[in-house]
Amino acid sequence: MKSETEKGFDGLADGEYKYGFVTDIESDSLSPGLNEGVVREISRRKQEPEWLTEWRVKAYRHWTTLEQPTWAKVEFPPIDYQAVSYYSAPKQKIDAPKSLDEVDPELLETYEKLGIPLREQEALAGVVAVDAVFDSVSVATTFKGKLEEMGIVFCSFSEAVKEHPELVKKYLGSVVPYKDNYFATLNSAVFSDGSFCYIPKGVRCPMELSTYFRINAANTGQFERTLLIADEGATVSYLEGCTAPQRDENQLHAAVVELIAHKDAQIKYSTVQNWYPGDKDGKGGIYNFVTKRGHCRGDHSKISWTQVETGSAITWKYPSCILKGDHSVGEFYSVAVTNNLQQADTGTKMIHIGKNTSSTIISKGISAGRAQNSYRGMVKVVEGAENARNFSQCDSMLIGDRCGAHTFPYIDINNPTAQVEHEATTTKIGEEQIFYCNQRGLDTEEAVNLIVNGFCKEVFKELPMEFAVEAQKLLGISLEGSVG
Amino acid sequence: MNLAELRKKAEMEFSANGFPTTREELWRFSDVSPVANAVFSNDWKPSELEFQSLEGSLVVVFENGKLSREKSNLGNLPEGVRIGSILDFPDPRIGSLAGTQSAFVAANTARFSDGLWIEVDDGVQLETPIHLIHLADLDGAAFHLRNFISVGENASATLVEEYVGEPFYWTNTVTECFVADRGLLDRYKIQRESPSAFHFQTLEARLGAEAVFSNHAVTLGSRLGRDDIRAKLAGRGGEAICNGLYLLNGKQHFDTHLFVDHAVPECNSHELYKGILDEKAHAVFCGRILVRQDAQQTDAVQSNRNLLLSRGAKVNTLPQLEIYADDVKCTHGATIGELDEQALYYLQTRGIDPVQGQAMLTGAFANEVLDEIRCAPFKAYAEERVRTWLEGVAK
Repeated sequence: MKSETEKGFDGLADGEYKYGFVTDIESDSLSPGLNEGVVREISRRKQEPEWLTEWRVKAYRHWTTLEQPTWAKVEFPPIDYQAVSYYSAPKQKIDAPKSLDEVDPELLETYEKLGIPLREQEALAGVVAVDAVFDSVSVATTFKGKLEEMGIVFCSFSEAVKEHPELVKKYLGSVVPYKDNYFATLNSAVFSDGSFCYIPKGVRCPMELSTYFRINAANTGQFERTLLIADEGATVSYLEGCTAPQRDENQLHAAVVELIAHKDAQIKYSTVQNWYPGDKDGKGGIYNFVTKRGHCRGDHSKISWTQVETGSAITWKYPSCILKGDHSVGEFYSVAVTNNLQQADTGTKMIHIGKNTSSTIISKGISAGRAQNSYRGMVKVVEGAENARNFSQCDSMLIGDRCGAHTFPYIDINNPTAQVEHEATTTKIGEEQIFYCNQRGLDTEEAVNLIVNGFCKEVFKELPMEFAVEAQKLLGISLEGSVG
Repeated sequence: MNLAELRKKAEMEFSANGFPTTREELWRFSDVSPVANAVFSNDWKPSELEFQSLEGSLVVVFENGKLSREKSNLGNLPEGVRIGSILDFPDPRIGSLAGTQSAFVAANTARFSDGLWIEVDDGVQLETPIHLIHLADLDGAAFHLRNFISVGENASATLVEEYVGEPFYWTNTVTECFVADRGLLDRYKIQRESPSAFHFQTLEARLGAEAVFSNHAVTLGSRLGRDDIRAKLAGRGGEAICNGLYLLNGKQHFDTHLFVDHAVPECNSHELYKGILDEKAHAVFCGRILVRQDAQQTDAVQSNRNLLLSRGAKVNTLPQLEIYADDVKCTHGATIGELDEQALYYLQTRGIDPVQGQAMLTGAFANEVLDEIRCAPFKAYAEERVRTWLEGVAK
């Protein structure tokens, strides 16, 4: 017998993925397969300098010596890396578009469907500057001119390679080296595009910068790379969003994000990840295997990660902070929602190296249906890291009796002045709370939404305004059809 | 598989696979190569060590891995209680919980030479604690001790295991415990091995419905050691309590791996492990709680607290929850820190010097675990040992 709550969930519309459309755009793709030739070809098509080509090739050669790791608590059939196309660019006129008017209208329409009308944004006295990455290539960046006046560089990765090679060369791979891990190494070899951002000394970025990622073409993997540098005293808030069409096969997304915060700099990096999660029976969906790491290089620097993970068939990512500068601060706020057959193994690493560093970890996991949701995190205090402070809280909520919630923290302390606290709880969604809401005229779906949003409030309040609204909506959508 | 076959299999597996390395997840913080690289003898001699038994207890003395009937006091056992050498009671359940799950268990299964065997019949309440003392003073020897404890339905027993010794040797103990429905086993262990010895123990407990298994481990000795404690709650309404206190200094390395398996609904488990680390000591704690699908109404609480007294002391703690049922209450917590300076200062303002203040605060920290001990003579004994250790640190 199902309980009232469960019935309420069953009654909900099957979680429709509203971003599941495919845009009919001709794309210029490499045929599937991976070898050194493909790596060189990607680099050639992107007209990259030789050092970058060689860097990619080094990464590829190293990748061939690696084996796919198996330690994460996720299960999936072996990936055929030769069946993936490693480059897919929307076909355009030979000249790159100079302004938005020259961008393929159909592409713009796609972004409108996604809720980022580039055109409007240019027109409106905007709050957000967007770099949109379609399949593998960055298609348009808004507000470039305005940012340039302040010395801020915000452009696609390929453009940065051409226009600011010295910066790219200096920072690329300095946080996530090409040998870092299996997926980061693969990304280093085949990354196609991504966003690049440099905030010069003392500049407070006047608007939120944003990247929207979209996988469109079939059988492609998306391997973008984001590099964000905040120079001394700079401040920036960066948003990242992702969607993909509904397809029956699994698609691979292996991105790398590197953040560098110099002295007194602050970076806030927010992600709303809504890749296609697959259908009710776990068919299709994105494999989201991402390496994200921030380096607090200077004293008094701060890096804050906020993520809302609702999509992807499998999420495997650990946005981390290396707290090297004295008095540096690392933060990680995460909401991970899994429903149906989704699997998530996510968390963070906080590595305390400098003196008087502090870190905060707040992780909220929600598991419904037959999903598995794991928090895996590490707090490491090295021997010389005096007075390090860490507070971690990992809460899990279970909706239904066929899902799982797991917590695997690793705490590694080598200095007696460290103060580290970790706590975790796992509970069921409150039947009484739902009943109370029902009494007040809210149906079960609304009640669950309300309760879950309350559970995640600590994280949502860290998100920039527009994202917070979107995240709350997404949460509702992801939990639709979940069994309570 | 009978025991002889299991022992053969274990010998083959152990000689084929050898000891684990730090590349294996379960051993990543504990390097056992000093054990792997040492050569141990199989000689035997009686022990010359003095020992003191707990007041009013049934004493079972093992010297250098063998039961000593002269030193033991098993004369007048109550009816329904049998205690003796595992070699004299070939129970078919021996090896059913611990066979070859790790290199240390495999080595023990293959090579055990003796061990304690206890059986308490249904409905028998054994009030007198059983005090197992292992005396080791054979330099360079390996002792594979195999203990087997069976507590019947509605029965109860209290076991205290004590390990002491001098210079260099390797103790590798495996204890299998069966607690039948509504049975109670209260087990205590105080490990006072020589500071250059190796001590490894795997304890496997299986609990019936409404059975209670309570385990307290006080660790003071050994240079390199590990406790693997695994309790399976196999009947409804069972309760497992696993508490521990580790006091380490010098270059001691001690690892505790707890695993509580909630296989059925309505069980409770509570774990409290505390550690005080001085000098260059290194403690590892890994506590895993597994709540299987349909093990609803589980209540599991785990806590690991560590106090670091000096530079060079290290802690790795991994509290883990793995939960496949929704109607549960599971929490874990871990803290690591040094003594609260304000508390020390407060004591100073009341005329208590810092050395004494530190002793008071560390003593209070340790007492939280000792207070949970129900066996009064053991509690007094453990408190005295802990006090001696803390006084040593204060100097």
